[in-house]
Amino acid sequence: MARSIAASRISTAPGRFGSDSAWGVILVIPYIVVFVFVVVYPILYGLKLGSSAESYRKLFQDPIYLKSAWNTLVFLIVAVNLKLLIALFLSGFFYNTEAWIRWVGIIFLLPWAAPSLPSIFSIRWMFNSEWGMINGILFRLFGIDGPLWLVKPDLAFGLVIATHIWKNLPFWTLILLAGRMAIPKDHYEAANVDGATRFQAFRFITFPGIKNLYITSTLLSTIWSVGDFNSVYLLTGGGPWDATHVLSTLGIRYAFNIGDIPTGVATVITALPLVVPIVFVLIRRLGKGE
Amino acid sequence: MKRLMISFLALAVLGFFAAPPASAQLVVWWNKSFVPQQDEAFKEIVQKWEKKTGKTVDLSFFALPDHPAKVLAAFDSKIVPDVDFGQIVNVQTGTFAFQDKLLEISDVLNPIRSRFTEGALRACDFLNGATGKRGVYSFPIMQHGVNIHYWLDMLQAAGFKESDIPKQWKPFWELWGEVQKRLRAKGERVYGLGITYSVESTDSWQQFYHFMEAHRVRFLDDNGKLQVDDPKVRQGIIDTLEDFTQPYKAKNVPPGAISWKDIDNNLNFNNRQVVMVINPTLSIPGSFLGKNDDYYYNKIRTLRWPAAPDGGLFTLRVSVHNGFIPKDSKNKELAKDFVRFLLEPENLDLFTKASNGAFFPVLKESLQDPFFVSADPHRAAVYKNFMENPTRPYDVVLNRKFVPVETENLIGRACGRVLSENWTAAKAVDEMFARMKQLLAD
Repeated sequence: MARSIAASRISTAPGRFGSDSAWGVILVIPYIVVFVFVVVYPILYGLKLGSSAESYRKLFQDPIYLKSAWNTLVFLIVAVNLKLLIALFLSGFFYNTEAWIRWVGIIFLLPWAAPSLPSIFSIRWMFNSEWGMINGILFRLFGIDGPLWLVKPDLAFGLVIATHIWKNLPFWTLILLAGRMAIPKDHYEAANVDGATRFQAFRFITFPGIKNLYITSTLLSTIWSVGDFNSVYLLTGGGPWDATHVLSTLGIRYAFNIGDIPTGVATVITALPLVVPIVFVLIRRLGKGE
Repeated sequence: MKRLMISFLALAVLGFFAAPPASAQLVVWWNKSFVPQQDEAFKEIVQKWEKKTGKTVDLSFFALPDHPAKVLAAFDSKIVPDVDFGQIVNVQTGTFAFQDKLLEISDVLNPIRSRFTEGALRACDFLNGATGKRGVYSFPIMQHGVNIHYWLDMLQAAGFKESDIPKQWKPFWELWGEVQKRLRAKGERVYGLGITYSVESTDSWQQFYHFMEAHRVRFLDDNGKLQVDDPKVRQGIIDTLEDFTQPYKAKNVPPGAISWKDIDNNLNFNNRQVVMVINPTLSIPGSFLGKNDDYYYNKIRTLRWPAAPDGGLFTLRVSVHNGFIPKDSKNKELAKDFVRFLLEPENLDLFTKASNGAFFPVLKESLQDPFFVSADPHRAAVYKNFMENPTRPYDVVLNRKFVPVETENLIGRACGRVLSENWTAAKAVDEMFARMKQLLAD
């Protein structure tokens, strides 16, 4: 009885306070205002800033640009795929339900939960060639100076990739673990009865079960990684000698170190041909429910 | 109820667009100092001005690396402070003036020109690209040169005395390699010299300029004209690059020096990782003053530069730190009044001294002040450098188009080519000149 009275009150609401559609419009206005000012306006303003042909001429003349574009490509291909592959295997490890593995899982999540600034600075200090912890231990144990981690461009860029993976691996492991947990357990029990090996169970049950999730995660991670500024900027600052810049850090270098904001924006815009097709594919996949 | 809801939404939307209440009458953006006392001194000056005028100041301090982004964004949005001062932003002042973003303030500076050193005044004079005329677009606050410090106890541990430090160019640099050799023989993991070779640091090009001056060669002439097509200049700069990179090649500099940021040479010296270091300002010894006076007074020494390779004194480069009033300031007259007050000798002197003497004064009368002349061993060495060697501003003051040469740090890149990629100095210099011409042509 009480429920029917409440229902009748609700049903009279549009009549007393206006129509549903009017309320819909009113309630969506704050969102539209925020969307226009926080999303549409900055994008249009950015495109306007980066619309000068002069900026692109300057950019393509700068020898650092090609190196940075190449670094971005290598970073995306190596870091994203390696990260997702390791996450795929680690998700299998964390799928186990033993208590100690859950404790390990908690520790494993820490890099993702920790703020980027102190954690990446700590890595930078650990790998400092002269007084970092790693080379300090090597000097004490073996009397050697140790590798020039952040000094040799290839080593420095390798560390950038390793840092990106270390920082983001827990998140993607969790995503893939959730995918694994969605696979019905009786599939594995049936395979076990049929005498399937672990590899066969992975090949014929696990991977088909999380394949779409894996591909979607790879695409999403690629889009996010294009804008990964922290791993490079905080670890190497783009150095030594601008050899480890990616497009996101190069854009900041132009905009704020050199004081040329249009060229900085143009730098980031040149990454769009790489990002837009991936976004397009991702949206299509999501639209199809993959 | 409907009316109430609509009123609420209208208020929310209005609140979104409404400007914040205008409480302060003058907005001042200031560079956060490495020395907290200097920030306090500036606050004191601001309070005195507020008391004198009855106006209020909205004062914001920005960390050194954050300040340029803030200023560039302010110019872009035209929501600017009324007065700004930033050490890194200084390099860009000429560009801002050329782009007609700064207020011409000769009416502030001209009546008091006699107070300032010639070099300080020169660094405030820039070309405005819109009017085609030069003018006073900034005001001087303080200045600094590039100094050499060393650990006396480490030198002594290597078996040398202070008087053993050579005054001639080549033997001077070679000594620190020998000190390193002897200390390493005792099992100490140290390096002789702290020279910066990276792109990420402004120290690298400031140090290189001093080596260039010692080799009697310059990128620009007195009129700001690029002279790198002169074969003598090219050869001089090749020689300078070879000389500058030699200590690193000899493994007398920490390997990480090729990726040091501005703070890293300070850290390496303060951690006693290097025996000597080259560094702008007196920030290195200053960081120990009051915290470890034994280090400041007894163990760290500040040296005069050695003689040039030809045996004579050479010109030292000086960086003048200046502030400006943006052209779009909403309180131009008030901003000028504040600057006039700040430039009063007692205020400027208070601010400069509060840096623990890390900076050198721009006021002529301060040059007689025992605080800078003789009261302190480090400041006394800097005083002699300033007063006995000729001085010259950096090239961005002579030609504002030179700004990207320094912000891109072409010198750091040339060092990288030689030290990391084994290019010859000639090839690295030619690449640097090509890029320099490209940038100056823009």
